[in-house]
Amino acid sequence: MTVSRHTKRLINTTFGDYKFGFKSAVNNYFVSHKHLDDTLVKEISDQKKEPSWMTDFRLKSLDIFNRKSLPAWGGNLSRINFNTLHYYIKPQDSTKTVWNKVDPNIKEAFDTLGIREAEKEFLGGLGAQFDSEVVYKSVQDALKEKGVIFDSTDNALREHPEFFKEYFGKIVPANDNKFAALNSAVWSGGTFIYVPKGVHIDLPLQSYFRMNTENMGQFERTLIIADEGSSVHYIEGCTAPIYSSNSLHAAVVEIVAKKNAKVKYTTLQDWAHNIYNLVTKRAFVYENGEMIWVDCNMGSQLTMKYPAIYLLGEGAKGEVHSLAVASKNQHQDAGAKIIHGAPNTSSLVSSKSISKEGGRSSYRGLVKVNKGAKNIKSKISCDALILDDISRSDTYPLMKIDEENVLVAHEAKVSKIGEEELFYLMSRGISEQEASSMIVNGFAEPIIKHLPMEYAIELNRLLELEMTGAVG
Amino acid sequence: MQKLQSNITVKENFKKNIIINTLDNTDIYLSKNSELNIVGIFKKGANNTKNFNFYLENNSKLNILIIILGTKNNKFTFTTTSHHIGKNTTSICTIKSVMFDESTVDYKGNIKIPKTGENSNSHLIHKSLLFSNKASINTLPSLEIENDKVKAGHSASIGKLDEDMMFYLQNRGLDTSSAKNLLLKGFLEEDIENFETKDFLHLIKKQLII
Repeated sequence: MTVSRHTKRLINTTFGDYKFGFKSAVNNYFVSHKHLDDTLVKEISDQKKEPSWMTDFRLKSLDIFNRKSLPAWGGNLSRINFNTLHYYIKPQDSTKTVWNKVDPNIKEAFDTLGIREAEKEFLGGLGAQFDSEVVYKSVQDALKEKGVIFDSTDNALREHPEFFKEYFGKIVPANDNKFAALNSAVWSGGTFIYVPKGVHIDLPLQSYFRMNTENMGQFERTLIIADEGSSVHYIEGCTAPIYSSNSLHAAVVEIVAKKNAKVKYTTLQDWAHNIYNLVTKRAFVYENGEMIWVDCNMGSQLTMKYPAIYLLGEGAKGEVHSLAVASKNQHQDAGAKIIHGAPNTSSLVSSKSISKEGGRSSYRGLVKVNKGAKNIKSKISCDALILDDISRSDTYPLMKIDEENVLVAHEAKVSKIGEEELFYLMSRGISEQEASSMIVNGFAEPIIKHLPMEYAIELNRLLELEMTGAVG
Repeated sequence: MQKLQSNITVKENFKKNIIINTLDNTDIYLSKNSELNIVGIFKKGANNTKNFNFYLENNSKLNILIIILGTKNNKFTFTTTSHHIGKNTTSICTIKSVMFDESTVDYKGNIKIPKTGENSNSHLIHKSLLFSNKASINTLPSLEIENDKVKAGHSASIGKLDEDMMFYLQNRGLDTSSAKNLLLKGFLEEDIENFETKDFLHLIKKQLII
């Protein structure tokens, strides 16, 4: 029994043609050479006028990168050529805080994507990164007054070095994996957020990442620190033009949620289908803190991303909600990693994937309960939808339990929505179009409900809108 | 290549019941229209990884139940792989581990459904009960599916005896150890009851002495 025709068509139209593939003509301010060596790393550091400890950190990381081998599991990485990538392109002289001062061509690109309208309507702050550098960053005055820092990572390193000495490279060390090492060596741009004690940021902060140049390597570095009792919601979106050759996006995201703090991190990844998206994301959560990753992967050629949560303080909570869509020539290897390192911690993972037109989606997860972490509760559920017989779905959930007083549950199913569900709904008087819309909406709903209101409405409307148009 | 210790083939249209007691490399072939109930009861671990491979031809049915009673420092490192090479195949693989002392289980289960395995139905379940905080469980129940006309699922749960249930039983006059025994018995028996043949059922129970 296969997925119904209507459902297929619905998914195809919703996650269909790539709409963000336009290219912008930009006069770059500075372009580094393509050979990855010490000179390149020093050049980047020099351009940014960094303190010497950061230059040393970069050089050490490059050494680690050269010594580490590519992971043997997951997707096919053999086609990445590290000597044909642009490691650093500065499209503009500095980060602007006023939209009108941004380079007109770059501005046009972001305007086409509708980024600014979003800022006006429902964001507390907005950042925009174009190739290697953040071209625009702005945050509401009210938040500034409360002591909130929302800046590009480069600027923050210059202005608030104390945070970097304490946290930078501590959550994701350079020797964590080959791509974390690469990022540590050539990182540029990204977001730095500091939320002071007890401050709650009601409106989300957003950063938008755009890769414009062919053969680009984008290595943004994000550090978020939520101090005791604070809360923040950060959203990132990413798109790029379509080229025939491959680009690489290797970000590192480090998050610290202190006692009673709450951090929510939403990703809407919609890279063009020639991009390798190899990202290391990790959060340390302390006493009664809470971390939520909402991870939507629609784009890229190969994504290997496993947002991680280290529950290090008693009562800490972690959640990962992810949605992956793999179409033709795409491999979404995504998942979640939860480490229970303290007693009375709990975690929830909910993953949904759709494979179509020969795409492959894999769930790869880890739940680890360390010795001494008593009274743990963890639940993992993953559902996969395969739309045709050329697509593939895999699930690799690993559980490592070294403690007795735990409750860990995992369930997964690979399903083919279709006749049975359709029949059930239709026998209750619902039309076929409506029924298949309900099924797909229902499948993605648990994830969509975690998106900010505006995005959720848009995605839902898109689903419904395309529905009425799709049925002939 | 590891040397295979035992090969079992279930002939066409045949039905077989097997009990095994030693954890060892095993390859099992299910011919067309055959059916196999296999129960493994392991009390002794092994030093290296043992692999169970199941190959299912058209219309074959496989029911696997593996019970692990881990005591002392026994290590149980093993894998099971169900290869659904034929059409209309069914496999249900249930692993139950009860862990005492410093015993460990390191399990990798895999369901492989290639393009030829249309209309296959496959389930992988791993449930564990921990009785000691020195025992440990690693489990990876994975799926690799290249076909859309399938039903496949897996689940895993790890926990200790439910405190509410213990309380309930003790409330009704059972001492701690008999309450524990009763719950453990229930944990192991729920799957055994699925086997239709009474003699076979009897044999399993005798082996378990529960």
